[in-house]
Amino acid sequence: MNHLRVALRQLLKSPGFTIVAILTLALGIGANTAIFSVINAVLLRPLPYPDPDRVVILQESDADQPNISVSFPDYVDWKKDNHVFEQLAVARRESYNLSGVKGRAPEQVSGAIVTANFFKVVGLAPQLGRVFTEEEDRAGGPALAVISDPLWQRVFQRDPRVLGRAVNFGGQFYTVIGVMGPRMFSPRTVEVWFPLMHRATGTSWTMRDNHPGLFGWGRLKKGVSLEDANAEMKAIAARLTQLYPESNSKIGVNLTRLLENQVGEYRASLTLILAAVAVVLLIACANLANLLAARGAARSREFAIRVALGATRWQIVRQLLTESLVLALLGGLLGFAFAAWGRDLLVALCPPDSKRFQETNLDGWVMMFTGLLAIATSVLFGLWPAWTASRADAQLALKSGAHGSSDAPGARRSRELLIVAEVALALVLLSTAALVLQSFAKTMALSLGFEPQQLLTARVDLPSPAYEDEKKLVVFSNALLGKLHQLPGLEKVALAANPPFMTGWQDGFLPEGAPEPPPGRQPSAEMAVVSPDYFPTIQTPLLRGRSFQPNETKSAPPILIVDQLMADRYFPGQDPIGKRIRIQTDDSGRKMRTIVGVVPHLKVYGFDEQTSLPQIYLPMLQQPQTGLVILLRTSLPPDSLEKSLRDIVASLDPAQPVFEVRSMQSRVAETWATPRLMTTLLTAFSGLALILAVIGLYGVMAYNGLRRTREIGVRLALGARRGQIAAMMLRQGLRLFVIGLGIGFAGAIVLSRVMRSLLFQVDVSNPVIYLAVSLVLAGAALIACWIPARRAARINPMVTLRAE
Amino acid sequence: MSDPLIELKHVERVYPLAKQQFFYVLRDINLKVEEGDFVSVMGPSGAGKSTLLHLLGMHDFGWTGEYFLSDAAIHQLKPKERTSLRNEQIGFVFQNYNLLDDLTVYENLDIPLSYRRYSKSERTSLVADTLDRFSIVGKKDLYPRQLSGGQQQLVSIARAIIAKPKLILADEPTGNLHSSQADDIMQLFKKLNGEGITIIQVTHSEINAAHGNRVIQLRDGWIVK
Ligand SMILES: Nc1ncnc2c1ncn2[C@@H]1O[C@H](COP(=O)(O)OP(=O)(O)OP(=O)(O)O)[C@@H](O)[C@H]1O
Ligand SMILES: [Mg+2]
Repeated sequence: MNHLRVALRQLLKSPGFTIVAILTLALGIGANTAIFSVINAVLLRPLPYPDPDRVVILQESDADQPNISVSFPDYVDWKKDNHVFEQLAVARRESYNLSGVKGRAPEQVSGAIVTANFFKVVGLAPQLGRVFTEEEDRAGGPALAVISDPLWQRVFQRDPRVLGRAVNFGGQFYTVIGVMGPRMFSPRTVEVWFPLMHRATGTSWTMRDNHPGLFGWGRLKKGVSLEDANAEMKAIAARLTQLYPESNSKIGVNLTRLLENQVGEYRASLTLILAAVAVVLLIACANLANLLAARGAARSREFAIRVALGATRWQIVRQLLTESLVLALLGGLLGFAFAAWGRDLLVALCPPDSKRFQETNLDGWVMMFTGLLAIATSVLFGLWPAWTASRADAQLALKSGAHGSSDAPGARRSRELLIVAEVALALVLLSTAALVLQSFAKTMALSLGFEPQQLLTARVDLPSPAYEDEKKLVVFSNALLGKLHQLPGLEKVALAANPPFMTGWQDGFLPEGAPEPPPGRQPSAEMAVVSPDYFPTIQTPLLRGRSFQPNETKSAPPILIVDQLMADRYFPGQDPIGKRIRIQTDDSGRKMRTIVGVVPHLKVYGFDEQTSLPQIYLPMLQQPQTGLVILLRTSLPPDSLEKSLRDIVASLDPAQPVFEVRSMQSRVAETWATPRLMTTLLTAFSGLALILAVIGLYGVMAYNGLRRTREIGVRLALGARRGQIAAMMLRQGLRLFVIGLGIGFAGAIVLSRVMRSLLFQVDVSNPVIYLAVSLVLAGAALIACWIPARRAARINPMVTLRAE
Repeated sequence: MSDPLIELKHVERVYPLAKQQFFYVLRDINLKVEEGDFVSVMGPSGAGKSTLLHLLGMHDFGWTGEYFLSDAAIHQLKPKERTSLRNEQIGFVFQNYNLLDDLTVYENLDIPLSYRRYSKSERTSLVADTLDRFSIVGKKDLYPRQLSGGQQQLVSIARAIIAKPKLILADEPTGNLHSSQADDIMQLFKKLNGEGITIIQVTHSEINAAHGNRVIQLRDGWIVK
């Protein structure tokens, strides 16, 4: 207690020092707290399901892709043969128009078809009603629905009478039998669950070589590890390969924990950012250690007197550590407040597609982290100065009151080591930030093959019973295009199914005359169905041939357009125009389509597309679609057209919602979320590190200047020119800087190898980046050293030599 | 005799105290010091002795009047020119020695040479000569704190003359020493003076002053004798 009182009094005695110290710590600890709170929410916090570690996602793999969806017959065999899962389910995400609710405009909701045991895998019971049974989950079974808590809230105002009500999802009525609790959110963002077997009809479910978008969901038996499960599932997959070589020759299986499946992709980036803030805190600690050591030197008389009065060394260390602890706790408190203020800002930067980022908050774990960090920090920056101060030679300190310039042995070396470390760490951080920044710039500047700026997109899904007739589809599409043409500021308009960034339909194909591939080995292409004006609207040039014509309807010869990748791969050295291609699901693969045009290959998933399939475009007039995307190229701000767009669709069919009205640019930007987060945070933190390191360098140089005042006075009296004194001081600082730079380079180069996988099109060994970063750092260091050096050179020897 | 080594004409040093208030530390100083003189400046504390010495040593430029050193008109020189003139002509000895703690005796001796145009080999031989001359070769690797007060002052004088100045300015060089050590230092000054070096020392001691050939009494900034 006494220690604490003395500590507080000491800190109050020099408020300037105390404020600087607390602010430095608050910045360092606050940044760490903020990042930890994100990591806690995203990576660490367990999923809100019972025994969440036992929930596993199963996917299959083939020769080309590490992850593909699960074939239904494979699932049936898995379920039958495995001994590791308590429950094994499958689910597929779909989306539905929810309509016919009184007083509500129709809206698009995300749903899933799931096997009945899916709820047992998740382990949650409904808060109201029940879920469907194995018995009900069969072909020809009843049309049942279980809805989510948010949907119950939004659409039914938590009315318990929703049970038993028939609700129109996608043009068909389903009876609501249960409402899940608020914790249920699987599969991702789903708001309504239907029995899978009710819809699992048709050949796509019985063909083993078809992978219809299913994901396996398993709950491991108690005591079964993921490795055990993996081994058994691999064995089963190998058996299936032997039994069904035609379809399963290259099919494997992957298991990942649910949490890892959801957030695994963020692990590397978040870890890097955490490392970056840790470095910032280390630099802050080094600064504080130096500040405290300088204070300790100034107080060496005090300690000497204490020792002379009988204090032990440990008592002095304890006194000083108490002061550090008080500083760190105050800094931690303020840092926690900073983190709380910055929370919303930080979350806004995070990838929007993961709910867990949005759940970032400062809970008990974060608070504990901050507390422990503060304590660890206080030892980190307090121990060395306390130790040094306690070693002060009593006799020397008492005698040298006049000069007060003698350093405790080794103190200067330690001080300089800290600065070297700070410079090295700052360089590592700065060059990391520069790499990430460059990567992000490359990402943003990347040509996608089309122009996302000034392009508005929106979805309309026409429900199948009402629009079963293709003629009706064509009429609707034509009427829609006609009305859209009258919008103000409109330059071009087109309709499409599966345009870039809203895509996901792949199909098998075969060029005419190519040898028939073994079943399941057919090449596949990224498919899109587009109206005639599609390419001018997205501003993609036609490389060869022609576009679709408005009169090329069903009655005209079947045609298609391919991308350059298809042309290069399947018609190398030939003119692809006039060649013919068969599409697997197009008229059951009997129809041959003639290529009429070639366009460039587009980036349709994002800047970091791993694998790319050739792309095929079918004319919408020959292949009318129910799932439409409206594409508007406008000279106005794209979002300003939203209202008119909704009005136009409503005027054609009031039952049809327009949803996902967004500019194409924002869809593209969404794929940058993770690099943007990394770039922003790393830039901010490395800036902070730079500032702290420069302050540290300045502090040490200024302190050296002060300590050497008398020496400088003597040197001037002995004939030194002021320039020589300034140079001497500058040399001292720059020597530290250069050593730090050297060590930092080594660190930066090592780190750049590690983070190569996080970068996009950046050459990590490009010396220009490191050169630029060093120049920035050198400029800052020069200023930090030059000011104290100049001040030292201005010392008046008459004054300093007199002051004795 | 030829021109004096030093000539001061109407030199004044004024410190502003407060608004419109001034404190005259040196008043209308007129002084000639011939080459080869050994001058003692005396006077009560606060009389302005140190101020005068720093003025002569060109540490201070805030004075008015005329100052000639070896025919050069100091009051007309630029700071740079003053520094080089000082480096050529003047060596300093302080009351508390002012040796640099972190440097050895050898390195302390080397400082003045490092600020003048000497080659590496010249420096080595000059330092060796000086160590020899002051009989402190055995102490060359010691640090100041390992020497007695008298030895430290010996080193400090050695350091003052190593760059071969014409003039030594010493501010109470024996102030921290007891009388027998003080006597040794005075003998040394006398010897240096005999070799042609002009010496101006500040002292409180009549005995020390007796070693010189001339005494200047300062009182409240005025030369009284
Ligand atoms: N920077 C300054 N501002 C105002 N007055 C000053 C300043 N420096 C010196 N003085 C005054 O000038 C006077 C002369 O000081 P100086 O050091 O020359 O005295 P001194 O004769 O050397 O005395 P001592 O024998 O005690 O060393 C003193 O009264 C001192 O207070
Ligand atoms: Mg004096």
